[in-house]
Amino acid sequence: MKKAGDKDDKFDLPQGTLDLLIMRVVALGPIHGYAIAQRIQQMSRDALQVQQGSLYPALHRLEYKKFLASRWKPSETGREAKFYELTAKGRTHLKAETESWARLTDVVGLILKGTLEEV
Amino acid sequence: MALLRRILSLGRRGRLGSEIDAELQEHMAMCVDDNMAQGMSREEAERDARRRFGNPTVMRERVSAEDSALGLQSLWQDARSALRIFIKSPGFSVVVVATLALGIGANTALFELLDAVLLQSLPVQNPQELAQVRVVNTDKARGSFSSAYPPVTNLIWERLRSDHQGFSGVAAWRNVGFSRDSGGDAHFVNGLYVSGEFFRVLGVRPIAGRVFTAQDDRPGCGLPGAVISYGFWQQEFGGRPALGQKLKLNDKFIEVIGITPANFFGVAVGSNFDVAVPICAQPYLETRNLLNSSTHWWLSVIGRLDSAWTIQQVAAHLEAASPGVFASTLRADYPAESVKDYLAMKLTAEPSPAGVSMLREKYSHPLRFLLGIAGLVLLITCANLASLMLARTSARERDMAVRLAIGAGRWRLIRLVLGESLLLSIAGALVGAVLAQALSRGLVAYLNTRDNSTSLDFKLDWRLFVFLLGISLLTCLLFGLAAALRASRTPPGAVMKAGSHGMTASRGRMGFRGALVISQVALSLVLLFCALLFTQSLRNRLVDDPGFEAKGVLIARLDFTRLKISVDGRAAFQRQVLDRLRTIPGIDAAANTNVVPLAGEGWGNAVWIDGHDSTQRQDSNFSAVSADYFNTLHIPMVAGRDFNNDDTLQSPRVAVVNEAFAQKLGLGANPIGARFWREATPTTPQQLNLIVGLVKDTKYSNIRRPAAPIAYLALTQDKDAENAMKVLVRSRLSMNAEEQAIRQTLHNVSSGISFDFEGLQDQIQQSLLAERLLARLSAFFGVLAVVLTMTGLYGVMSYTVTERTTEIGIRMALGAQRTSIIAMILGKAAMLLAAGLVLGAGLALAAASAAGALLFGLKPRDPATLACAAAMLALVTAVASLIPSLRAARVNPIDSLRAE
Repeated sequence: MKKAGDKDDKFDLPQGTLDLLIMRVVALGPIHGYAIAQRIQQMSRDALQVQQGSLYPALHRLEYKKFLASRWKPSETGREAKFYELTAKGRTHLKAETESWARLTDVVGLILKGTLEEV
Repeated sequence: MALLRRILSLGRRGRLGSEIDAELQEHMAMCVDDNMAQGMSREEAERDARRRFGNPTVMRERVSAEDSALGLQSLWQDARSALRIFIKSPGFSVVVVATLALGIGANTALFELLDAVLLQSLPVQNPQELAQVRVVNTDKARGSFSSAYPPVTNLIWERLRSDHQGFSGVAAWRNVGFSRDSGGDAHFVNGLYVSGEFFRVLGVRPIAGRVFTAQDDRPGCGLPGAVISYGFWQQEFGGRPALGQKLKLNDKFIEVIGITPANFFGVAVGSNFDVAVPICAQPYLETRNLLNSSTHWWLSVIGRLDSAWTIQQVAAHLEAASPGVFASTLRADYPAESVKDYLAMKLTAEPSPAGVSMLREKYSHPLRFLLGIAGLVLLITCANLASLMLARTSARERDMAVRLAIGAGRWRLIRLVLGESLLLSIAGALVGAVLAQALSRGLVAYLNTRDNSTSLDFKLDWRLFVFLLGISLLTCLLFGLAAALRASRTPPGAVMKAGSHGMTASRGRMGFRGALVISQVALSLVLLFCALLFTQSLRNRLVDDPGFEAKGVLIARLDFTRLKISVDGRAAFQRQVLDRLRTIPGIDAAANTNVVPLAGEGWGNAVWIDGHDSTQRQDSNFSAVSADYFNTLHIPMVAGRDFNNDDTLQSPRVAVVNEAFAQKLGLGANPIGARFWREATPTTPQQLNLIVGLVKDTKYSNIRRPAAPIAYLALTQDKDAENAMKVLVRSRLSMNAEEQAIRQTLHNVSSGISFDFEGLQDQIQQSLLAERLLARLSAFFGVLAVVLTMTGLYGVMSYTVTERTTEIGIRMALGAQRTSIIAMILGKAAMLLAAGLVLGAGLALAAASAAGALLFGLKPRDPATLACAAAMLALVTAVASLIPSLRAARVNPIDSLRAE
């Protein structure tokens, strides 16, 4: 089955980055919780399987901080589901966080890639 | 802002919860659908979804944790769950709240009383500025002292009024009783003589009319008016307009000119006043003019400090000014040989923000001690409650384990249990506060005597609230903390396993509850010990022979001022009254005196033997009596004779003395025939007296002092006969019948005589009020403590037996006898008792030495009493542990092992 991927491809997400990923996924359009988890897995090419236990708390946290807005709508299967979309505030926050993430990875990568003799 | 939003979201809680549930349910459903689309069967799909999703309840908790307001949410939840638990087990809640209410109520009542008597300032403006002015040492002062509080003469007061440097204002006052009757049963109101500036200095404004000014208090003022208290206004006039109405006081009419506010009672805490009149009105209301006498000490002085002066400066200034004050206030009536002592007297000032108080002097030490005792009882109660809470928490171990398992933190559990105990504490404190009002009023009523009607104003001030709050928190912590800590330490796994009865004696469990019982036993020992000490002390006082027989003697105080009999005719009139009283059937004897024994009255003079050096004088107590006095009181006459009709104003002055007098003056075993001089007094020159009788010693004015020298003079030989009589009547009739007969007889003599009755025995009892209060209350608390300890001990022993049922079963199966099982359990109880006794003995001795001043006839470290208290506790322990031990012996080994 597709879900049980190779163990070597999986790794743990640092805490704050889950929020970032969720917002990135939601930025593409209104989406409900289950679909977010699916989408993250799909976009990471199965390498990332979101812990269900962290997903909903993170969603509600973001909603409370007013980065996401939610609404109950009928989903593609016909049943009602809670759809999340990014607010303007969320959009700004996403942009800022993405930039600082990029900066962080650059800096860390710089240090990690640097040759040892230069130390 | 976020906080506000969260607080507002509290209300949406329910709706939010169901929304989260719906969302999570949808997630699960979609997962199942997906799984099924991939080819799993329905059950497999559901199982897989559930496995990957995790525990839905944990999930919901975690999600809603993001929503929760900071702690408020869970606090509210905790409170609601605590309430639910208490409503479900009403028995437990009621018992706990009732116990707490009693304990807290008793403490609060005593605290309120102490607060009112000791701590509260006078309800006047800026009480911290008030100071009393008094004479440093009046031991050598001559004259009559008729105030319970440090007095000065009117002349000294007037001098202070004209020169009161250091004070922005000074005032003088005096408690007095005004009669409102016209004969028959006497009816008094609480009166107050005040100086003109009294109300202004204290800052008391009238609620109607006006108060006195300096103009109202000038010599020769007559009867300018009276200021009445709010209470008297309600009582007498029913709240109707009273200004301008005439009041009859001492057969004179005075107009009401003002009413004071409800909370003002004067300067003496514990007293109350009904009617206040200016000092200058004294000669118009009473027969003797005290205004110009330097030998009548009757006024108390209070002043308000000037803002620029400290109390030390004022005291120093007064001391420096004293010689001038006393020199200028000396009059001819002061006995010549004591003048130099008078001139050497000194004045001083002391801070007096709480006024003066007889109550304070008499009762503050006993009350403090009682508060300590009540506090100990509360501690014992808390120990019991702690045990109870522990037992309940142990019973709820599964509940706690489940909570821990689904994700509650340890702190959350502690908060849960502490929350329950806080709720109980607050409920107990509220009920206790209500109870305390009734209890404190009851206590005040108990302290009310005929002579000093006690009235205290209980103010619900901040001190009381702080006390209540503190006591609630303290009790909550004391009995909830142990349970809370235990609850949070529950190992979930171990508890979930079924049947966790230990096979061995689990030391840890017994440890804490055992420690509680030990502390209870120790505290109970202290309380029992104190109770026994005070009870014995009271008994010692009661059986202490006063030297005369008080039972069966009635005191009849008569006043015939209204009859306006001249000084010369009064003695004959008094004789006539006495003779009439003696003829009443049922009356065995009657006699007149001017010093009623053990009534706080007294009169002393210096004496010396005729022919000896007059500078070698000794002090002696005096009492002037009629014939038959000693017979009336059953005072044995050792030698000589009583006074008789031959002792008149014309015959040589005679005296009867007691053995202590004879001994003090070195007169030997038979002083009959000796003569002694009595020093000059303000009203008489020095007089020679012939001793004609010798009587046994008796106590004089204070039951707490031993017998002292007394010289009795003949009333018939006193040329200044009074308008009043104090008649002691011995009879076998009931008090009511006796009073009725006397009333009738007196009415037949004249309807203008007013009279007042009191049993001599009752009066003596009332002077022992402090001892009675201590004995009764400490006994009550002692018994309560023992009952609580017994309950606690019973609980612990029962629990031990239940816990060790398996072990006992095994022992019996292995051959132990019933008696050895009983011995084992009793031995456990005995160990607890022994530990408690050892701990308690030290505490008890320490506590008792603090009570030393309150005891009579026994030392605080009385080993016999301690042994007695310990024995009582041992008996109680044996009784309490008997039933559990018998139950242990009845354990059937098969059943107990099978239950495992």
